[in-house]
Amino acid sequence: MKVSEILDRMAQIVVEFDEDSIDGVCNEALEAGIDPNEAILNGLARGMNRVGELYESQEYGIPEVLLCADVLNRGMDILKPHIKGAGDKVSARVVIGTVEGDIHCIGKNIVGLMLEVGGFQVTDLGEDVSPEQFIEEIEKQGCDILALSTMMTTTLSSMKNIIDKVAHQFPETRFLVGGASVTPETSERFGASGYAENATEAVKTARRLAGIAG
Amino acid sequence: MKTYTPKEELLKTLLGEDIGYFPRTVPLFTPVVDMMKQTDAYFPAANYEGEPMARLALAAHTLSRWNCTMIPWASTVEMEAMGCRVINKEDDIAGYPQFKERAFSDAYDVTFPKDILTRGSFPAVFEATKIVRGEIDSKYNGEIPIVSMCQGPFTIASYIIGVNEMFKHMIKDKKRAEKVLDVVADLLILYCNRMLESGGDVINLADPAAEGLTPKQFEDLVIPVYRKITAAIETPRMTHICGRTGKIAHLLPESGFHAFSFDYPGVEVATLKDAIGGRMGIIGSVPTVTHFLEGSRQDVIDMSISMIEQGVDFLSPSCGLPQYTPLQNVTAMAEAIEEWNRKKGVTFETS
Repeated sequence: MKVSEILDRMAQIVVEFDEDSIDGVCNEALEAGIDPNEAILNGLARGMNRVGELYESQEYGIPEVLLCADVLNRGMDILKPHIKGAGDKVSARVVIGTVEGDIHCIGKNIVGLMLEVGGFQVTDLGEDVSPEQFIEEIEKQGCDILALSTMMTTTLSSMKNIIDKVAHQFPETRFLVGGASVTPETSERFGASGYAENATEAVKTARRLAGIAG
Repeated sequence: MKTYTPKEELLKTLLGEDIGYFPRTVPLFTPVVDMMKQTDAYFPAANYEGEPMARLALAAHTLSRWNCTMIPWASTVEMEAMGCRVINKEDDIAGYPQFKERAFSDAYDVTFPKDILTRGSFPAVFEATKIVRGEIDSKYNGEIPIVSMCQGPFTIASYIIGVNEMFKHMIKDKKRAEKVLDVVADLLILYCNRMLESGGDVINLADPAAEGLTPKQFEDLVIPVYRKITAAIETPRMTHICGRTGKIAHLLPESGFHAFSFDYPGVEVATLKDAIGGRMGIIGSVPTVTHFLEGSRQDVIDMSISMIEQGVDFLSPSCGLPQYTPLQNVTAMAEAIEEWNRKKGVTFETS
């Protein structure tokens, strides 16, 4: 089977959340000599981008998105160990989390996943993350982009608090924000470097913040 | 022109009667810090103790001039009573209770004890409702309605067994989804009726997690549960779902709710009019962040008037108000209604 056919099928398997077929197509890709990075980007990620479109058009709901993400994660588990060297790894390091007081995570998880697929080094601190927890992680590992998510209007002040405290200690940090209650105006008011409405935009914006073309 | 009390305005308009002017009641209230300071009622106590909850609830009428109040406001009331771990920060006067851990690891384990209405902050909700009812009856001639608020079955179910689990069950294991939704429906019937017995006038059921479903999932698994709940509640009732509800709106007239409270700009009034106009009331929707929190008083007034002109049946914020919304932006909604009715030549005997 041609490379393009394998990758098309891989993308389709993600879109169809076909957990029974993901192992097979990933192994097939490896056996065919497809670079695992290419398989991740042009197979798995391409499928997930299509899932994002289906979600935006509301043909897919969160149940479908979660199941597609599971299939993508399974594909990553198979392909990642075969990546040699740094591959297409972006040098920018992203720390991501849902802000203190908020436990919503689905959108944030997808963004983290897509950033990782996009080659960023991603550390996901989970949900309800305090400024101190973000600072501790940045002190340990460094951070180029701090990606913050909140769904609720009642935790917007947490987002501002985190940006203020982290910026005070690490003024070079670039802040990428998103979530249902966040608007471009909120982002600007909070002093964020970038705003993204969905996972696809988050990757584009992160690349811009990291100074990466494309 | 005949005019009514705010309570009559709410009840009549919810039941589809044209009262001849725009109702003065705003049936979705959450307190802001300016109100907490003026009533000396702060979180977390006001989410767990009847008296401060009642003081803050009355601020909906006395300080915001919304001619209505709503109790309670935290989205964690039902899940906490069902056994979820919920935490509060004692030194955060504006912080809502936060969900920390689900109560059940399997949908088939979901159940609740006979004394469930004594658990968590349920007793405080009933006590606050009784206190507010007493105050309204004695000081305001009973004219201000109390909206009894609850979370919806899909939202509660998601937290008590896990959000990811519940969403995945909607495709992979519908029997499990149905089981937990059915138990939660039984809980909500008990809870809502006890709030009404305590003095509530109408029910507002907020089910934000349902926005994440496709129309088919919503129709197959959530609408039947709404019907079960609404069939067991005799008073008028409304539902609020945040976000992009345009694709599920047409299903709502089958739910048993009298009105739908929406979240602009997730859905437009025109879309709702096409989907449910004439069969359900439409409530909303001035955006909480761009207008109430970040906008000016005039921004709130202008958007309120725009919503009235587009044909909503009640005004409300698009969702719960951010706690640091300035009070002048809250009262701006009341000003808009007053201005609208004044221009239409409506004069009220009482206010």
